[in-house]
Amino acid sequence: MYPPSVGDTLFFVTAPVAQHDDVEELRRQLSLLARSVSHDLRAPLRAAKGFTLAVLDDHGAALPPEARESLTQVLTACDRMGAMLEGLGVVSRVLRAELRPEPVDVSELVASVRAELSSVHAGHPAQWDVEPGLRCSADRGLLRQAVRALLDNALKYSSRAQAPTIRVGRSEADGRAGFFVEDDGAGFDARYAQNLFQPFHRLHRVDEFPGLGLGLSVVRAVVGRHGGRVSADGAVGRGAVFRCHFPLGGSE
Amino acid sequence: MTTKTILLVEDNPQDEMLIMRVLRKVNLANRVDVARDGQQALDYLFREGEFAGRPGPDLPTIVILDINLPRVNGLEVLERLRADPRTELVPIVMLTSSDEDRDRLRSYESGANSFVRKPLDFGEFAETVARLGVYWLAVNEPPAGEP
Repeated sequence: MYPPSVGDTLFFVTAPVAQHDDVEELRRQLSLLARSVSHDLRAPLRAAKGFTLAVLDDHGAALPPEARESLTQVLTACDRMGAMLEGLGVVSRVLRAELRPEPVDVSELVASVRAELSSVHAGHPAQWDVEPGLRCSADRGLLRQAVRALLDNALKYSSRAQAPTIRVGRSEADGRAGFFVEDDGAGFDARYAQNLFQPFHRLHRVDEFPGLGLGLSVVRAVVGRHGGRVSADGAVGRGAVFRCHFPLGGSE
Repeated sequence: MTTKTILLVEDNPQDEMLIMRVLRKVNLANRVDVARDGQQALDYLFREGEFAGRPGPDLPTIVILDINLPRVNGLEVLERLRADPRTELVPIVMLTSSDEDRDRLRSYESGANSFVRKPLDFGEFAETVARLGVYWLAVNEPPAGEP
């Protein structure tokens, strides 16, 4: 086991054992806590950026260049923290959302999300290999968020590869069934696979691959809400595969 | 010339300063008065308590009302204003950091004219407040206009 962080505590309680009332109540309280954290931190952040802009606006011309540059760094930090708070809000909404499971054609969902992401990753060289007829029973909106995060990652981390391929197909393990998303891009050291699901944990520098490090937290929260499990495997320079498995009955 | 007054009901002093700054820049209102909790807002609008003899028109052109407020919260202020014939028509914009569906729903059910979420980013926030000011002071025809 890796040492749990506060963010992890949120996710432990979404594990499949979370059928018990007490655990459900704990999950609810923690997600409310996460919500109020992301919510109540907004006002001071807005003030930090607002007053910094006010100084630049009113006195920018009179400031020496180093002072302006320092204030610009404050603004950059504010924007990053703002994006992080929005991200925490997303995870918190996933944890609080009412589940409305229905039969979902995962292959179609992948096609739809691909189309949505094509503008974000315009000109991406990837070949796609998506198994048709993948199905699962899940909350469509939540599953879409998870698939979006997985495909976004696959595209991002294969963007520098020569002729990359992104594969989506059926996956089964321990009596659970689901799907995998695989790319042959930058990959990661498999020793750190567990850390990937911690909020804001990144295995690459921001200047290598941009991002906040929240996508896989969303994936784990979504799959966890359905009583499923998500796992990661990879090798540096060889690619990564993420498997989402749902309990029997939760996936066809 | 008509006196256009904004009543801003906001308990966060920094948000208040930033909103005042933006409203000053768009230069539309003749005056912006501030109430820092729900009870002050009610006293201001009904000319009671510390606002018994306040100057200015009976009602502001627009009330900008936060929801999370000390003493009397914004939704209760809204309901009490709508229940009184003196204030039932005053335009009220809810300006809140709440993203809860039920707050939005209850605001409209209780007769809010508009519900605006405070954007997290200050740039968007400033733009939102400026647009809000322009719309309600310059574009919108108030219920009690010049004859």
